Amino acid sequence: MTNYENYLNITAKAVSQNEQYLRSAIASFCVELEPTVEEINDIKTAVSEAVTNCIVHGYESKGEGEIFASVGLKDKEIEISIVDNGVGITDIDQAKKPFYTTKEHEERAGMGFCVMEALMDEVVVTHNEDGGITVFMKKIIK
Amino acid sequence: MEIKYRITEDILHLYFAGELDHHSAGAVRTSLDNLVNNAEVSAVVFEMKDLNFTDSTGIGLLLGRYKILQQRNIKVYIREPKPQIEKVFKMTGIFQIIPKIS
Repeated sequence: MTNYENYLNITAKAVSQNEQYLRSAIASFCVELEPTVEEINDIKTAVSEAVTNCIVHGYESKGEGEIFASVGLKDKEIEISIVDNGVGITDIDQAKKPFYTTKEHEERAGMGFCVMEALMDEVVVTHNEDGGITVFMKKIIK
Repeated sequence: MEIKYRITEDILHLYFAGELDHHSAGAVRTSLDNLVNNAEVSAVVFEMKDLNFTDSTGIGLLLGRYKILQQRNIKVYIREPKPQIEKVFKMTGIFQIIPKIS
């Protein structure tokens, strides 16, 4: 993280009440780059999607496990990583498709990755070597 | 997150306030379904003026209520979403299913 002008790392228990804290903390941290209200809200919404994915899918709503959230600032760029050590995703390309969900009975819309991609300039989803998923997102402040 | 309501003529207005996410969705779903199941109305309006945040969890929840209401021939509308919420709703196409009214 040292190549950033400023950065923040948060480790949080994967419980749903932390969704609000994580999205608010990361969005507040980005204010340093003087984004618009809309850009801040884009970041807040995208982080909420990624964190909810960790809790609902990665850790299957068991209320166990940890979410590793980090945000780094450099010039006008914001880079955010949301990482879990959960069950992972069998097919990342399929998971990214609109309305695709493995949890239809829970009224999941299947739009999480679409929302992230629409609101951020870059979204990269990768498998971790030791299990789980990393969602890397970049937002360039205009 | 508390859902307040008001019935005018035969329209049920449901007032959303605060932040609707995966954490609050369970309680919101229960209170919405209680209100909706007991209502003899021809239309339901999701009043969003005081809703400060939602994400795709909120979209799933609204579409779920829409499916229930549609089966009872009750019309469903969204009113006065804040700009960011309108942005998320537009990109997911929800207004094509639940129209926005003014």
